[in-house]
Amino acid sequence: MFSTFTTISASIFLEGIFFLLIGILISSLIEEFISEDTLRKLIPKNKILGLLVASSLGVIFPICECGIVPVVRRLLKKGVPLHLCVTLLFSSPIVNIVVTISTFFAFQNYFYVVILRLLGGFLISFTTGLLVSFKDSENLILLDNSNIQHCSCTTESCHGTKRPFNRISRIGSHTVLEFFDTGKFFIMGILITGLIQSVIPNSIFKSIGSNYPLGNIFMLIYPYFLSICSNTDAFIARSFMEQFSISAILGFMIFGAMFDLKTTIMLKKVFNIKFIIYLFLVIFSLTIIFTTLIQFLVLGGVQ
Amino acid sequence: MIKKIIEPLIVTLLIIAIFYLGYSNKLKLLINPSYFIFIYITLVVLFLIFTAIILIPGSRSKNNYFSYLLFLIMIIILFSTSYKDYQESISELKGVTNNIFEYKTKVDIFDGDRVVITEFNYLDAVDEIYRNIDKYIGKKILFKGYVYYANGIKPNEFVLSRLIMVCCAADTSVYGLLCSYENINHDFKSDEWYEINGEISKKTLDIDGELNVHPIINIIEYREIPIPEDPYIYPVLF
Repeated sequence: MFSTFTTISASIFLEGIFFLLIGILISSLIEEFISEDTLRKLIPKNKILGLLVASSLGVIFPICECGIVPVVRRLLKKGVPLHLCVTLLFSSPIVNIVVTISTFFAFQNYFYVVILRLLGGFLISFTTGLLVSFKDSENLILLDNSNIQHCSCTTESCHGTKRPFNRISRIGSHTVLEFFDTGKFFIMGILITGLIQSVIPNSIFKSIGSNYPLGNIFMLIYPYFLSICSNTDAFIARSFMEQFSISAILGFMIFGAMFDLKTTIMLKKVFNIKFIIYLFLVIFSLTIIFTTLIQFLVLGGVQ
Repeated sequence: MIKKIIEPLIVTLLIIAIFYLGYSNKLKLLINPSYFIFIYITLVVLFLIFTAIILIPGSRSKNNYFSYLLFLIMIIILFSTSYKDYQESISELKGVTNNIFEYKTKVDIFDGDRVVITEFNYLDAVDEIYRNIDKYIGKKILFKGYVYYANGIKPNEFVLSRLIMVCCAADTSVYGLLCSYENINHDFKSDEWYEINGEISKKTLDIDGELNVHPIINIIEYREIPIPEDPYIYPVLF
């Protein structure tokens, strides 16, 4: 059992750290090169338009779920509205060029699965952002400002300069800070996932049910604990084709990519617990609604 | 002050751990070699982070003790993985998977008139035999794997299995062909590796109340082998 724990934890760590580092680097670059003013100008004034942009940004900004957390955290600090950040957070693991390509390869003979996954990711992240936009964003975000502003200098004189060396030095120092800060939650998530996977036998998961709707609900909970990267989860999902319906597999690839144990723990740094639970419930319900619609409208009901 | 020492130390240990995994050939037991490119880039970025810690004077946040502790635990974990123990426990946890991948339409798995399964055609070959059992009945077969006594099979049967890794060890599945050693007087120990020469036939199995025709290999010859260099089967993804 211990070896299962070490092997699974080590492998998720090695698989995810690249994407985490990329996210951290992008976050540091945003911090350095994009000012609050620029961001404010870039964000569309119209709420719906803003949400549309946020839910499709992943196409040019391919970061999966580990990497997007530090980026979103940075954007929140820069004053980007909460609902846009939430939409970006949940759309980028799916509406994402890398993820789309891997889904395409995994489901070569089922092109509509690729389209439905993209559509689901887009609609669900859009709707979640829309729902969040009606909430009072105060108290939902936990931004420990002290930490981020602790770069080598806090004075105007340094932060104002644009000399290349200063810039590189600031990017470096933010990257290091973020590495130890986000890394903590990343590893915590991995250790818990590794523990669960090394204790609970697969047969328990399988016996829970492969029928509708039980199978569909199961296929939302299972990837939550599996915490695999959305860049590769399509290949895992593919292996369930014989046991589960397409709608259940879509749920696996939509909810599992947006929300898993590892990201939940990483999000603890960004949002308060109540809001994380709120987001979980909203996305869970929206995925159920989406997959149910697919089951009845596209796949022609329950067999 | 502690930070000044422990942060570069953690990054250095992390780099050493990854190099250690690479040199001891353990890396491919944790992630699919197709993804090694990510590891190379990770090493470069970690090295840059190390340089940043050393060169950039005083980024002055508090010591993040909890984070250091978690990183050190992770580094110890990276040094302490073992394939053999993993194979034993993961088989029990996961159980055998059937038909995990779409097979290619034309697979030639014959070498002469004998079926030979290798690391390279493993998934296609096993899948092909499952799908077209009748075509292969009576044919000889040669393949390797480890002994796994799956639930619900007869006492003189086991599944000669391989672990399949799509992306990383977290998604391992167990895949194999049922073997029978009715005519052979040998104690096949669980998790030992064998090369088996047998004859393909079929058998109807009752799995969870569902009747399914499965291929079964009647063992003719067997040879105990050490764990191969590449115990995993990596599906070709692209």
